[in-house]
Amino acid sequence: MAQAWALAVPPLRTQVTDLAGILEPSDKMALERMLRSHNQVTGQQFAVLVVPTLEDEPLEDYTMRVVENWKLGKAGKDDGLLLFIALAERKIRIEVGYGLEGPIPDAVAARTIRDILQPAFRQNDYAGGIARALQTLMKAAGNDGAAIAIGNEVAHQRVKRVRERSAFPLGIFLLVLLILFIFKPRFMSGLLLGMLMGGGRSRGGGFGGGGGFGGGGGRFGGGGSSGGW
Amino acid sequence: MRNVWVASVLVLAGFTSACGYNEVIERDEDVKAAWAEVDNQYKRRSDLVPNLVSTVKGAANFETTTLEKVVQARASVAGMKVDSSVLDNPESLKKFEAAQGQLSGALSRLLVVSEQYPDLKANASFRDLQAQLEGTENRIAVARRRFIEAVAAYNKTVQVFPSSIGASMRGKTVRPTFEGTPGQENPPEVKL
Repeated sequence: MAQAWALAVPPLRTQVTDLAGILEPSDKMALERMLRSHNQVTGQQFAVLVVPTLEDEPLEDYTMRVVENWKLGKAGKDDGLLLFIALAERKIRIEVGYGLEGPIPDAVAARTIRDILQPAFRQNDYAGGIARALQTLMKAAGNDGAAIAIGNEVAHQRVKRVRERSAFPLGIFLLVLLILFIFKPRFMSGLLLGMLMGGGRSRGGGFGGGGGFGGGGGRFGGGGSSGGW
Repeated sequence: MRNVWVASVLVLAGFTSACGYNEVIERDEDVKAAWAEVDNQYKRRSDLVPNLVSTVKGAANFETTTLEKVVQARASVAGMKVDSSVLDNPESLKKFEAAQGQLSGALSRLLVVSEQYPDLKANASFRDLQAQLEGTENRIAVARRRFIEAVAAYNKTVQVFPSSIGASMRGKTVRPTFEGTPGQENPPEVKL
């Protein structure tokens, strides 16, 4: 049963809610465009939620509270789906609404986690993994049209970018910083302060004046699959 | 004279709704609907078992006691007659819960033991069955929670004044609910 200190359910404002900051803003917006298009074509509501930690709450308890609050999918059709990631615990869950349990049975959800999300996340390819997983789930749910293609730039480009970043000579960078610290302390502290202040990602901008995004009253019965990486 | 009639009808209507005459029936229907879902999910799990057993039997040298326990537990679940009387009778509900709990324990032991059989873990059918089983266990947990909540709301309507008046007029009494948490009755012990 819900305790007084249980982890809060964030408000549903947009299709992709990234509270752990693992997605670049451009990728997040591309994913949102893809899911919005899917919604326009099929009426189904897919959403993504990434949290930094579950804070000891069991995975399935939390995701059930989220979907009961968000009510993804249309009332009566119950065609909603939540892709949930808890970063610190390295846990993934795909929560499938009653109406999607036919096209997306538990085995399909489990395979999506095991074959797509798990290997991608182990390489820190969060955006690509999420994009490819969503494309697979959208296809299973009956949409293999243009909506899927919107996600391609995220699904495929990411891997290249991750590899580029890991080749960066981090050691040299840190050495330069250290030298600057010793010789120009006031400059460095000003620089650091500026970086910290400006570092917040803008999260509210995803939707502008296009009308709010809200759940349609869809119900969930606990179907789906859990996994991790 | 007519005003008196109108007033009486209004008072009666007000009294009827305040005393929970209809509300208790609505809560009762909620309980029955929640129960149907619980029964549905338990049946679904029971239906998965034969497939699971035959897939596991295919794995070389799978340890037989664990499998037998699953088959036995499933047989006792399938042998139970579940009709709406289970909802009214605390003893029947307890027995139902106990039998299902035994199957839960046997199944979770089976899954733990199967971790030691690499050819089983590599088997795609087994993995799919495992996913289905885990999905069903989660659905059972959700259905149980909703049933417990529905019974709690119903019991509150039956016991709290003024809706208790309507409840006793309808002959509705307190209903039993689920006691334990599934899967925790028999924690799996695996001898390695």
